[in-house]
Amino acid sequence: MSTLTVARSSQGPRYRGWVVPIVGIAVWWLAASQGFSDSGLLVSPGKVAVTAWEQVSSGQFWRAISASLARDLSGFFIGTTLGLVLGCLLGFSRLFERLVGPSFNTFKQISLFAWIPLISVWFGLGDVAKVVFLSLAALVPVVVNTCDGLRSVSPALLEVAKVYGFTRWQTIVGVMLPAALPSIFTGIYLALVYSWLATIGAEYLLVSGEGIGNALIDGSEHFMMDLVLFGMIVIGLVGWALNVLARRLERRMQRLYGILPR
Amino acid sequence: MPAIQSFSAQTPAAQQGNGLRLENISKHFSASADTRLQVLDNVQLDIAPGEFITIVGASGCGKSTLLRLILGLDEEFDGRILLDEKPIKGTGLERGIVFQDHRLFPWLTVEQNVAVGLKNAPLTPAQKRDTVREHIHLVGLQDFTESYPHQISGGMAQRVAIARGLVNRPSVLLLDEPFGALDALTRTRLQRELQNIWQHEKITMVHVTHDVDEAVYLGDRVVVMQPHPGRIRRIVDIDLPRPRNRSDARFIALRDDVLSDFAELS
Repeated sequence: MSTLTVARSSQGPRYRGWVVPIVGIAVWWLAASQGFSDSGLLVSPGKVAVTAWEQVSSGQFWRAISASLARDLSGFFIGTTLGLVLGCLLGFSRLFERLVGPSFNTFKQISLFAWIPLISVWFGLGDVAKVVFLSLAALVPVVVNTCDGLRSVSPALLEVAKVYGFTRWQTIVGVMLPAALPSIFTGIYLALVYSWLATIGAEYLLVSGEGIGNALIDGSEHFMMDLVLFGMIVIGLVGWALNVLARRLERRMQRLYGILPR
Repeated sequence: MPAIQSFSAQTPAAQQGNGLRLENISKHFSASADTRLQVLDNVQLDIAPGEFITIVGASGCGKSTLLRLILGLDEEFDGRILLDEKPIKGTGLERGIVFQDHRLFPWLTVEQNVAVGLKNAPLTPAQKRDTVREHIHLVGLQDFTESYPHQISGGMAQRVAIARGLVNRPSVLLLDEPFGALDALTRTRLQRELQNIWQHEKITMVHVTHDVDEAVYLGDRVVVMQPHPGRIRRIVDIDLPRPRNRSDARFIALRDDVLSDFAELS
């Protein structure tokens, strides 16, 4: 009996996805060059491209993006690590879950941005405050998904462990963690997404410092739409890149787990 | 069936001992303060070493509960269960099980899944590897050692579960409707394979099923159970040589005899 093979679904020519953006840019360029509007807010694609080049070559762009990414990744790592620890404690220990669980469930209901006033009073408006905020953004999905994953390990598999005399430690490492890993990974993936979203938000609300979000605000305050558009494109690209990275890691893990065909 | 080869020179011998004895087994569930559901009532059974016992009964007769008690997953009952004249306590490697759902770990390969059975066995890693390979050969899956459960069919997965159940050479193997979730063709094939494995390994087997045909085909004796409360109605000796022929007149007579019990009850 041969192993199962999955037929690849045909996607059609890839270029079809490009039609809308290219037509959109063409219309935009036309509108800008024919002077459809007198408003200084309508900038041509050419201007955006020029600004982009200026930003990149002057080094401003690199400083801004590396500042934003540094905070993003710090907050992500701190929040994910703490989240894994807390999630595992809630998942493995019934006592801990009864003691801490209700408080955490209440805590997680507080909308993320509602923390800003408290954080700005305690930590100011600079980098530390931003990283605290980002850690919070990453922490919640990791805890929730880790704990859920551990608590919903199939009782049928746990019975198998009992039949073969698995010790508590063997059960945790050999059954519970592997069974919960897809869920844990979902939590980490969400943390990556949320912490990038929160990075930009943090730069809007905790305004001191440098970053790509700050560049966007500068642009909008001075009505430099080319800068605003450039900022948006960059933010979109980074978000997309993080997404692709997370997906790749997820597929690698799924292949390892035999969830996807090898 | 591929030729069965033995790899291991030193294997822990199957403990033949004095068989499995169920003495006055009773169990009840308290649904509420004043209602009591008697699940098993005074079940008495003596199983000789190396015997193949099939237990057949309708839903609710307590046959699966009985297996869980023997296995040690459930310790609340009245009466005694003795293996080799010693009362059982909790779970133990000398009592193996094959569940109705294969319960393989999805993140492990076929070989690793069978090795789960030996996780806490007192063998060297080399001995473990050899025994695992031997049992994978026994169920005919030597070409699939690196496959994952989702890559193999239900019948193959159940064979892996059988290999896992046998890998530490238990004194008794319990089977809880192991073929219930499979299609009829695969079921027939696996019944024959199970019989071959039993004749080769000579391990006591207690096989629960709701399929009377399967019970008569496989068992040395068929234990007929009735529900409400669960108790043994009677035990039928199947005195037919193996391999058994389902079209044989004596087979049909015995099967109809056992079936008649259920016609009365319904």
